[in-house]
Amino acid sequence: MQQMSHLPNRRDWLASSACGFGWLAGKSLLASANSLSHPLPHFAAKAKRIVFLFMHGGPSHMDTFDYKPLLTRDDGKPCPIPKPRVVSSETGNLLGSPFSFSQKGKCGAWVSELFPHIGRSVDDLCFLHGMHGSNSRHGGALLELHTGSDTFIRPSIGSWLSYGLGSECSDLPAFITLAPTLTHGGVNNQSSAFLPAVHQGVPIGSAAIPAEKARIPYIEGGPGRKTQRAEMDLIHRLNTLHMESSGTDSKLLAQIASMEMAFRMQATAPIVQNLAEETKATHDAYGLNDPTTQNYGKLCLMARRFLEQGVRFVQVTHSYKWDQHGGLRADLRKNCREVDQPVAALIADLKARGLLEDTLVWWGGEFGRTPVSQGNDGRDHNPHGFTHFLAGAGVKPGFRYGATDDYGYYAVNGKVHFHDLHATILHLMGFDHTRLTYRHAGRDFRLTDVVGEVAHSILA
Amino acid sequence: MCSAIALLCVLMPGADPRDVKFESRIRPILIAHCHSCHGLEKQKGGLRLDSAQAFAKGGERGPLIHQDHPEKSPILIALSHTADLKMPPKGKLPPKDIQALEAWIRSGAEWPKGLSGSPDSKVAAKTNPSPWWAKKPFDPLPKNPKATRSNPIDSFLSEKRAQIGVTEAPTADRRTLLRRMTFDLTGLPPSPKELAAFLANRAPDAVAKQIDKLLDSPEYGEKWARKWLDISRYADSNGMDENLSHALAWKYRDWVIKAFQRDLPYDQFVAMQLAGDLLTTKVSDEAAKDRLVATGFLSIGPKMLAEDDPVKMRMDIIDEQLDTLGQAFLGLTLGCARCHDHKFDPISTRDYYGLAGIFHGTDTMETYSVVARWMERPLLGPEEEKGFLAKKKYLEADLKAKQDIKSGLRKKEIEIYLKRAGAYALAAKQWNDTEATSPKEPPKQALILEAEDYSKGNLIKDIDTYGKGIGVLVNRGELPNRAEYASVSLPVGWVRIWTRHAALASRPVKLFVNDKPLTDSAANQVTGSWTPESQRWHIAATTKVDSGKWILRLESPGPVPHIDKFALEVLPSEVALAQTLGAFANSQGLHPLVLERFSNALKTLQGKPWVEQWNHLVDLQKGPLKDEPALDPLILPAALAEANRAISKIEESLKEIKAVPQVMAVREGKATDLKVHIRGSHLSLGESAPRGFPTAIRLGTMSPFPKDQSGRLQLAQWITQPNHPLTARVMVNRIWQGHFGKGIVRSVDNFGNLGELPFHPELLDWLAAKFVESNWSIKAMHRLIMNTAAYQSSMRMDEAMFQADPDNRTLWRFERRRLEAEEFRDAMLFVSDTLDKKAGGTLLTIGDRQYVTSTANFAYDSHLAPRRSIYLPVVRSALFEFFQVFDFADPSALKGERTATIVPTQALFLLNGKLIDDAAIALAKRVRPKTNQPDQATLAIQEIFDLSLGRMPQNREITEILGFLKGHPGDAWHSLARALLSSNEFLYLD
Repeated sequence: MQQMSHLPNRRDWLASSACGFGWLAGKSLLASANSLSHPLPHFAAKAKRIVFLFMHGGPSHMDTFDYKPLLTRDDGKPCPIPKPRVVSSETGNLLGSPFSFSQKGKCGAWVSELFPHIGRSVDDLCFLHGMHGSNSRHGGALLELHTGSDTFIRPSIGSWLSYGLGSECSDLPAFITLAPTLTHGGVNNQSSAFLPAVHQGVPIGSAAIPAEKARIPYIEGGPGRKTQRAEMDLIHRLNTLHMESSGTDSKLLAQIASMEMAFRMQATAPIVQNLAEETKATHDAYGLNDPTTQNYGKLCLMARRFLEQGVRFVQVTHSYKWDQHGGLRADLRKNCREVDQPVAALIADLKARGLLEDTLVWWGGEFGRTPVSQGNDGRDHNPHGFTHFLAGAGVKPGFRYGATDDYGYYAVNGKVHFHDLHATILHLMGFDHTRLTYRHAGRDFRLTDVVGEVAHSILA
Repeated sequence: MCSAIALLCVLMPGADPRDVKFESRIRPILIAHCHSCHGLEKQKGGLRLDSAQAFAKGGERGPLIHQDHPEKSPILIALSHTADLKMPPKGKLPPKDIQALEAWIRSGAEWPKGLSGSPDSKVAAKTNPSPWWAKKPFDPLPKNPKATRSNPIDSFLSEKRAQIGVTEAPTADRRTLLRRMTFDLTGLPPSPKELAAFLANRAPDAVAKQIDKLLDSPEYGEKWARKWLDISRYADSNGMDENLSHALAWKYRDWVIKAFQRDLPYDQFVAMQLAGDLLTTKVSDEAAKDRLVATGFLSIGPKMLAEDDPVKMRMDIIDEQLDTLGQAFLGLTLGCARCHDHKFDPISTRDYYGLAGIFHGTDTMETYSVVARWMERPLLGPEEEKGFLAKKKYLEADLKAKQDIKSGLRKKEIEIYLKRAGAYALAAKQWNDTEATSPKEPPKQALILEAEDYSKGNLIKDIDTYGKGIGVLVNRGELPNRAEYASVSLPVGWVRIWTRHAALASRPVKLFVNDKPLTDSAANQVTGSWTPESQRWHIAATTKVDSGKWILRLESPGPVPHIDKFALEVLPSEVALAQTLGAFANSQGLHPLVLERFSNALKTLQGKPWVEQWNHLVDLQKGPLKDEPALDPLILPAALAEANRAISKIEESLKEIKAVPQVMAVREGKATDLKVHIRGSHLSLGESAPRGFPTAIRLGTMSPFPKDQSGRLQLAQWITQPNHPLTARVMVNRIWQGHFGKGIVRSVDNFGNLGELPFHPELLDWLAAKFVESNWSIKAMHRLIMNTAAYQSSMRMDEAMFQADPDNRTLWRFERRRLEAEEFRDAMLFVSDTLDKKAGGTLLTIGDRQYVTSTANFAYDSHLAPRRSIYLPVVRSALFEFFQVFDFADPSALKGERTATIVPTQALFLLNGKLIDDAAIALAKRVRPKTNQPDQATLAIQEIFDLSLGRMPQNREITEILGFLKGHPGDAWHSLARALLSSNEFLYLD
């Protein structure tokens, strides 16, 4: 891994904190470790970190990665398969994909014209064509995708991993979410719920904020660095005198250590987010010079820089644009354009840096869309069958797993429910999903509740 | 694995580790892989694997276990997939599951005693109750403890301390004590004046008097109500999937504050929240309204309002209610029994659905169709409400009748126009063709108005999201949306108005010039996205303006498109007339309104076969001649005026009706019994579960509920019976926790078998009895607890005692705590003299049931108000960042005890937050001396210590700070103030 030049590394940090707070070792660190303790992985992990590229709105699988020739043939005919018991909107007859498909790479995966760049990366990807969920509305489906529950507030998968593994980086949180949505569950999608608050996803920006303005809350806004250092020293002196007169305890010591870490984080985070350090070639590769791709490109590049620093779970949300109830032809094309090059660049970049070996890339939305039309240029929500893809650590490259029926309505084999995907991801990160538990309100909770099966067939 | 088991054992004192292992390891395997064929519903091969008895019996092939050689047990052979019979047939279990089962079988295949855990095991749960301490009644006339301290609580504690050889800490100094008492009871620090008065009062009852004084202060209610709001998961928005504002929820919050202030007896406090609308004792209308407000407790929970399955939505809402009330009042996790008999507590699915039936018979919602609406009721006394509802029903029927009359008039006219549909169709086509050749953009010389430069209005002016100079209007959420552009230097004569906007969905707006309506459908075009790259120009209207005084106004009852600009283009009158639909219509002898509707209809049908277009044009259900109020102008003016007069008269009366304040509350619905939902699914129903209470707790014989009542009133009465073993215990434990940081039962929300056992059961029972005896007075409990040596003791540390009682269960010292988020914020405002102590009301600036958050917009800034924290809106999913960072309870779930995490984001707030910065500026202003001469500076340092920390600085602190002031590069007093507000002494309470 290439270390960024002027970032302090973990050993430096430990050394300096040991100097500054030598007297704080022992009891206090034990005490603070106690409240943040992590269960150890159950077995050797294939993946050390994850980047989740979240396409908010529900991308259409039949128009991107799930090629359905029969759907094209039967365009305009009534759907021969019964529609689900619960539907979100009224739909009509079958709607063939208006986009052309071709086979890509050595693996021969079918990819539509909408994803030319990702199309060239298929030999690195592991497609899950049998994805399914249980909720047909954005809010419920987002919560199910992120937390496993569409009924209650539960910890997000990133929070579970933060709880399970902690952070590899002492200056940054373990779970970062770039440009998260404020709707459809909002922060509940990155919430630690009953897990300790430290496992909450730290939002950087939001769907409303352009990438270059996205910041960690409160990371800036204080007085100048010099004034702040003077204040920090004074606070430190006051706190020391306070402990001398009122007695030392672990809480006070942890508070002091936390101040010092925050002070350092202020220096680290902006450096990680400073994309000017990257070469022109990298900028071009991520599409930073093209107005269509620049925003998601910046977020993807930022994600790579956070991953390099040891952040466990980085989510990169592509804003709520994938909900093609109408405007399928024009808008889906545009959405794909916005993410295609950045996503492909991220995968290639991780691979070139040797990071793809222990980084899991995960792409997908909260559901797919119906093969039947809504209006004449749209598709309704479809949680019964859709496509996600994974790449990197521990999954088979150039592999396609599972399938939907002839039209793409229902997952029929190699079915992977969100719970199963969660179980699989935890497995890749070194956890038996049935044993990564947290005791709350009289019960041991887990991400997968009482279900979830690891999709062993996709493991490399 | 070992560590997980160890953890379970630690957390479950008293539970047999083998049982724990069974529940954590073995039963889940059986449930996941075996029960679907060998359980309640199916018993393939005559085998069931869901109870000890059935397991012991085996199946058609005989026993499962080989008694002498367990390793040769038939069940293990089947699991190994080595013989004919392979189980599970779908595929071999993972090796670790097989190993776990094998280990369990080798060790005797024991099942937990008294719990069989299958969905039909109520009998076992009832006849074989586990020895659950909390169901045992407490003695209503408890004996005081033997020891002879003046406060029996101290006697109880001394006894325990003596057993382990620790002693009580000496009394805290009086400054510390006053700070502790004041924060604990009011959430604020004492003022220097209060401190001086208290220190000067040497009377023996000074402390007791001070406690009384604090309890009488209004701030007491504002502090302790907040604690209850954590328990009742209070929020001003729904959260979940559809984050709509609860604009009326604050009435419940204010009710809670008042209840604490007036020391409403806790039994009534509980009963009103569960069944305030049903309580039968006669009270004044005002008191009845108050009780109605209290039922907001049942209504303010988070709900999935866009669940497509209404039955699931309803059961989920009930589940949330049961889960909350179970933990809040009884310390019971009822929610577990939704899917299966409670694994650890004697709560069966039948008990659960018995309770669920009570809430099924209670209307919490007005509708269950997406987006669902929660119940709101007029805030009236019961009799008034009856009259209100009758009047409303009558008026609505009358309105309908009058509207029908008007509709009849319209239909008569429509008939006439229908006959001329051909002429209208042709003219509309001709008009559309000319329009298609009209310009696509305004000419260069047109006058441009930037949309965000409005002079009055309520839309968000977003000028940076999309880049410098690209300003657009976006929604605030408060409806109707309005923006007004006033100017004196705009064109006169015929003017064409253009809009430039982006929209992913059609959102027409109304345009007016000098209050004259121009069009209802400006900017209604869909351009492809909400973002600037799809902004397009469109012609909105053409109008004649006679004077240079212009007021252009846009209005929309719903959300607006993202409007970037308007353009005003002056037209020669002949062009204008030719390009004005009205003029064109007149020239053809057609009605402009009808022509416009035909024209718009044709636009939506472009490219369709003519037959289809024609069929639509003459379709009286969907076409342009559809009967709707927009066609009113077709009616003869006199007839229209008369019809409108009649309608507006009724609408006036309805307005009065609608002006009656509303409140989030529940209503008695249709009483029904539910069936058990097998595994929690409403798609597989089992036996009937008559409404009732959990059978494990028996308080005399229960008579069946009256047939026409939900049973909610009876539930409230059952919970508040003085001899209920849980209600009083749970609440006194909460009060205790509020003073000592930890409860006597440490799991304050869980008194079940998985909760912790009380360290001092006699003390807990004594307190519970005292609570009931004091007529459930919460203030009496504060007095009792705070007037103890234990509460007033210091934090003295002692290594040996720490070894003997590291968790401080015997309270051999007082524990330091961090200020809670609200205390920290309010204290900063208080010491900087910027706190606004105004009580009550709402700061939410958004209308009821409006979205508080959307994909990209979030314009909630009410937390800037310097009011006490309890009055700041609690917006689920978009909690005030400061609160979130400092461990405010997640408002989506009940939480009786907050955590106090220490994370760097808090420290970042201390370094960079605006709230602390503003407070520091104000605090510095209070003390800043004219010069930094040491004598003046020293006085100012003394003052700032007095104000912020309630004490004088030590000499070495003064020296330290004088040095700091000297070397400081900027505003040193501002810096010093921030440092003090960030110091541990400010943040932690001794």
